Amino acid sequence: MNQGLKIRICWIALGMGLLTPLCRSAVADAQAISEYQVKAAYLYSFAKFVEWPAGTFKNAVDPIRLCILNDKSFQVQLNQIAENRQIAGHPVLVTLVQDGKQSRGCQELFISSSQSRETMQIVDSLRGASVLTVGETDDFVEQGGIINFVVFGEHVQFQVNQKAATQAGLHMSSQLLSVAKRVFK
Amino acid sequence: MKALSSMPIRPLSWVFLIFAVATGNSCVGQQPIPDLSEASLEQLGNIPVYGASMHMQSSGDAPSSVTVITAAEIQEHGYRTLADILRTVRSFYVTYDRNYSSIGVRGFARPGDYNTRVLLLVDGHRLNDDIYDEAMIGTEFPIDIEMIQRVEIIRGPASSLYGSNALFAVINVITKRAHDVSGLELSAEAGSFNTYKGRISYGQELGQLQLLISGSFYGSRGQNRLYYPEFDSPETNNGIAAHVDDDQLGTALATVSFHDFTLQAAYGTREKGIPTGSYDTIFNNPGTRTTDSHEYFDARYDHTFAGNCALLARLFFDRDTYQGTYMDPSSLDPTQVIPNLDYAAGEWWGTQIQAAKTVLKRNRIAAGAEYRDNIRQNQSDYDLNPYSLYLNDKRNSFIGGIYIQDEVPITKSLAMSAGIRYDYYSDVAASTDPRVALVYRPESKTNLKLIYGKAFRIPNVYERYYSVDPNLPNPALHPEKLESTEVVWEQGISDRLWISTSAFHLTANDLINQQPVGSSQFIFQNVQNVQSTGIEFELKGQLPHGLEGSASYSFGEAKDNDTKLFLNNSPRHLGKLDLVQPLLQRKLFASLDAQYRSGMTTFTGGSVSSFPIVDFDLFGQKISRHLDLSASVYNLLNKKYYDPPSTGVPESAIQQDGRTFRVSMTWHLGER
Repeated sequence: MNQGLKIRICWIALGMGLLTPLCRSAVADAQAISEYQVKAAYLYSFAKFVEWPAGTFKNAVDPIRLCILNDKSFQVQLNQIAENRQIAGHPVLVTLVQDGKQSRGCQELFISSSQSRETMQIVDSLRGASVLTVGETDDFVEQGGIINFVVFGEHVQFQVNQKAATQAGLHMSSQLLSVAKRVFK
Repeated sequence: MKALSSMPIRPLSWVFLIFAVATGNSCVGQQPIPDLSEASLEQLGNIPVYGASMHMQSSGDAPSSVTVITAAEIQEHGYRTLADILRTVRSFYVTYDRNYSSIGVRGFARPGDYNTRVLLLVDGHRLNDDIYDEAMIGTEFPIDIEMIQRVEIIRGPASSLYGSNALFAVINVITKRAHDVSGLELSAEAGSFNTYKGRISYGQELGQLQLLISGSFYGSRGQNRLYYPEFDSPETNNGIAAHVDDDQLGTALATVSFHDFTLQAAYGTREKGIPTGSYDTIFNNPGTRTTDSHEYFDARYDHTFAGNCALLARLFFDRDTYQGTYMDPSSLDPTQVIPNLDYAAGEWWGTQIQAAKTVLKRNRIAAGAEYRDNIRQNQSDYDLNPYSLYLNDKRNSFIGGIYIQDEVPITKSLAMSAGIRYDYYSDVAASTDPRVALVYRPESKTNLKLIYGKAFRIPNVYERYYSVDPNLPNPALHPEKLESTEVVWEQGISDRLWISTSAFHLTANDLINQQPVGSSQFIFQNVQNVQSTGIEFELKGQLPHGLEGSASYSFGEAKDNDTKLFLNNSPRHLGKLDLVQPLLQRKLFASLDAQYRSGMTTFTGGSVSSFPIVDFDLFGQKISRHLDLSASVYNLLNKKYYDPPSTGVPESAIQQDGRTFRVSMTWHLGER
C-alpha cells in the first residue's frame, strides 16, 4: 500500500471513528423533546389559565380555538398535544389561519418567527377582539403581542404583556403570571 | 504519487486525542418524558429542548460581524442574483467584466481572482471548486435566487472552522424548505434586453417527510450594442460589440428531508457570450463564450440529542465543469478564425462530521473533521482546427482537516470563543489556523467583540499548472496567509435602532498574484505583502408601523507593504442605503437601494471613477390570494459607470448597464 493511500484511509477512519463514541445514546434518547413540542404544550396549557370575557363561547360545548398563523408543520405538533382534549368542557380545536381577519374568531393565536413580519398588522386588526396572541420574536411584546416565548439556554420560557391582555379583555390567573419570566404592566 | 513523509500523521494523533476527550463523553441527558399536555407551566419551563434556535446564534452573540439577508428582503428589493445581494452588504463591492462577477471585501479584490478568497457555502456545503477555487456569484451561481431562504455573510477570517479560502468572508446561502413553498409555485419574469425567466417549484410535507423540488431557466439576449473605444477601428466594427452579450442558464434543486436526514441535489449551468474581446480573441465574434456547470449531491444527518449535543454528519459529491470557446485570430492570417477550446473538469467527494456539546452549563465545545478527495482536477486546452494540443493536465489530491472550537463564558457578560484548525494537504504544506474572539455584553443592547484570526488559501491547480500561452505554470507556489484583528461594537439605541461599528486591520502575506514575465507572458507568484486598515459604520432601524432600513459607510485603505502604494481595485469609500416602506397594510412594499463606490485605480494603470447607483422596487404581496407581483428599476438615475477589468480583458474599464427594468410575478397555488 502506498503512503498516500494510507494517509487517505487514516483520514476516513478518523472521520468515521468520531461517529461511534459521540452521541452513542442516539437510539436511547430518540424521544428528546423539541422546542416546538414544548411551545405547543404551553399554548394548550395557557388556555387553562386564561379567562375569556363572558359571551366568548356561545354555549358550554362551543370549541376553544387555538389558531396558528400560516405554519402547517406547527399545526401538526399542536394537534398531537391538543387533539381530542377539552378545557373546562370546551373541546379544543386547532385551526390554521391566514390573516388577522380570520383570527378574530380565535381564542389563541400563535405567530411563529417566520410570520413575525405580520405581527403589527395582525395585532392592529385584532383590536377589540379577545384573542390571546402568542409570539416568539424579540420585539413581540413591544409590538402589542400578549405572550412571548423566550428560549433561555435549553429552556423555553415566556413573558406576559399584562396591559395588552387587559385591553383585550382577558383575565390571566395569578398562577400564569407567577411562572412568567417577566410581566409587563 | 509524490513521496510523503509520515510526519504529518503524528501531530494529528494528539489533536485527535484532545478531540476525543473533549467531546467523547456521552450525550445522554436522560429524563423521563412527561405527557406534555398534562405538564404544569413550571414543568414545561424546565424541560431541556433542542431546536433551531440552539444552532442559530443571534448575530449579537456570534463571535464575528455578521449580516443576514432574508427571502423577504430579496423579494422586497428585487435582487436578481447573489451578486445583487452582496453589493448591498457593508464593506462589500462587486465588479463585473461581462462574464464573471468578482467580490471585493474590505479593500481586497485582486484582478483576475475568481473569488478564491471568499468561501461560498450552500446549506453548509462548500461550493468553491477544486480547480479555480471559484465562488460563483453572478448568474453562474447554481442556486435560483428565489429558492434562497436567507444569506448569512460572516466577515473576517474563518479558516479555523472552514479551512482554505475563508480569508475575507464566508457566505452561507440557506435554501428554502418544503414549508417555505408549500404546494405548487410558478414564477415568471421579464426584463430589459429581452430577458426572461421562468420557475416552477413544488413543496410538500407528508408527516415527517419534506420534499421540495424546483427548476428554473433564464435567458437574456443582453445588450445589443456595447461600445468599446479600444476597438474603435473599421476592422473591429468601430468598437461595437453587437449581439454578443447573451446569457442563459438553467438550475434545478431538490431537497428531501426525513426526520434528521436531508438529501439535496443541485444543478446549475450557465452559458455567457463574451463581448469584450478578452484573451486576445477576435472582437465582436459571437462564438467566444464560456459555459460553467456545477452539480452536487449532499446527504446530511443533523440531530440534537437531549443534553444539547448536536451532531452533524455529511457526505457529498460535486462536479464542476468549465468550457471556454475562444475565437482566436490565426497568427499567419488575422482574418482567419481558429477556435480554441479550454476545459476544466473538477470532481470531488468528501465527508464531514461535527459534534457540539454544552458542558459545564454554558461552555460549548464544537469539534469536527473533514476529508475531501479531489478525484479529478483536469485542465485542457487545444485548437480545434487545425488541431493543436496545448495542455492536457490531469491531477488529483486530497485534503484532511480537523478542528475544535470552544465558547467559554468567563463572567456573566464576557465570553471567549477560541478555535483552531489543522489542515493536511496531499500536495502542499499543511496549515494551522487559530482564531480567538472575546464577546462582551454588559447589557442586552451592547455587544463588544474583539476578534483575532488567521486564515490561509492554498494555491489552486489553475494557478500552479495552467500553462497555455501567455500563462506560465508555477508548481512551487505556496499558501498565502492572512492575519486579522477586528473590534466590533454593536449598540442598540432603542428597541428599533441599532448602530454597529467595526474597525479592522489585516495583513496578507505571500498573496498569489498574476505577474507579467517579459513583455507578453504571465505567471502566478507569491509576491504581494499587503495590509488594509479601515472602519465601518452601520445603522439599522425600523419605525413603528413603517419605514425600515439600513445605512452603512466603510472607509478603508489597502496598501502594498513593499511598494508602499495603494492597491488597485480598492475603493476607499463605500456607502450603502436600503429603505423599505410598507404600504397598504403591508400588502405593498416600496424599496430603495443606493450604493456609492469611490473611484479606484485599475491594474492596467488606469482608473474608474466614483458613482452612485439607485435601484427602486415595488413589491405587492398577496395582490390576490395567490399572486405576488414586483416591478423594479435598476440604476434609476441611468448613471454611466464603469468597473475595473480583470486580467485578460483588453479594455481599461468595463461599462455597466444603464437604467434597466424587470417585472415578475409569482403564483402560489398551495395554501399560504
